[in-house]
Amino acid sequence: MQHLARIAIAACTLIWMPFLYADPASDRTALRDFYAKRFPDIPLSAHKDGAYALNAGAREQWLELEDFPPYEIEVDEGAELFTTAFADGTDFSACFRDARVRQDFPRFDAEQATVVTLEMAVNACLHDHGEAPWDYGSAEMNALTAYIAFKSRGQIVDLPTPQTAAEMDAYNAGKRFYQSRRGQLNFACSNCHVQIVGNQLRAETLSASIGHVTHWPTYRFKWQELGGLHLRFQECNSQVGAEPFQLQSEVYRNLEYFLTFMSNGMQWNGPTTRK
Amino acid sequence: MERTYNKKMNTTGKKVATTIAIAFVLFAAGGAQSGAPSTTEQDAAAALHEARSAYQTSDQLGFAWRPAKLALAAAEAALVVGDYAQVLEHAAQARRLADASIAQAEREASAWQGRAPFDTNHQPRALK
Repeated sequence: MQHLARIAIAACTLIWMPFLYADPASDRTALRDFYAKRFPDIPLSAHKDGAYALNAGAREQWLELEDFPPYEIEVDEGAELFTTAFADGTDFSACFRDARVRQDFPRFDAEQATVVTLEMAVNACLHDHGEAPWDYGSAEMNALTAYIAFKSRGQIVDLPTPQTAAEMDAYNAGKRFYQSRRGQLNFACSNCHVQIVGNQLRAETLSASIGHVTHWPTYRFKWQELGGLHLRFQECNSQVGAEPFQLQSEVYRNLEYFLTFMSNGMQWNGPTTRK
Repeated sequence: MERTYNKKMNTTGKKVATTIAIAFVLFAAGGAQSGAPSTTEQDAAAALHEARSAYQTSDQLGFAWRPAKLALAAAEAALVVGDYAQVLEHAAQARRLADASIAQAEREASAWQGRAPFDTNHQPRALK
């Protein structure tokens, strides 16, 4: 009974919360201004490289790695998957033109009333052409999205400003997640990536959030394979002792939506490598 | 000489009395323990049910903690092998952690709004 009352209180809180939010454009300005003040010598656009924008030594090593990147094989496999014919004779070009579509995702789909990510669009394409969907963390999904990201390099993040009530709900849910402390360690995303951004947690430099969405999927040496943005969300949540959500869950898609809007104006630069 | 003997006897008597008293206390404690009802399957199941319920609440709020889930899993595993004392211990831990995560969810329902950089009153600290 006590638990039901608690859920009811939380639900009521959620209902009136949206009226207290600032508009997305102001949020984006506030975040960019914050990083500009915190890192006066680093151009905002450089944050697309994450911690490598902040740590010269690590950047040098990373650039050398990028000469012969470990994701090269997956990009080639993705190219092959892209042109492999479906049972109906078409292929992914029927859904994604020439594969230069990274900048089209995520987007808010009014018909489905939800945020649609690139991974969801891939599975929708498979479904529409009579194929079985892929697991979101599968090698095929990572290879194809790596190829799409590679072909889309240099394009600019340009998510339309959330305006409708449904878009604002998704945006605010993502923002709220970003700012909420969670897990036994009681950490919010913003604790690391705003409050103490640029400092180090053990050997890791904490990166700015305006570059967080631009470079996925990423080959992380810790994973020894490519992985998507949501896998990183799961890892972050686990690291602070929170139970992670599912890949492509609504919670993570909303977070991606929020972070992508914060990253407007940055270059898409995936896939890449990280420690 | 007699006084010394008496003194010795007093000391010995005290030692014997103390030993008997300790033995009695230990015996009584042992008896009480063996006479007390041991942890039953019902106790364990009830504790586990409460822990599960608290965890589900935190999960529904979107604030479940991983250690709470692990403690819950440990309690469930202990139930399978009939180790009810372990069930109680792990369930109590899971319950404590789940309650703490629910408290966190309640705090964060409003606390998240006052954090930088979106709180206009907040000024960033200088980089150290």
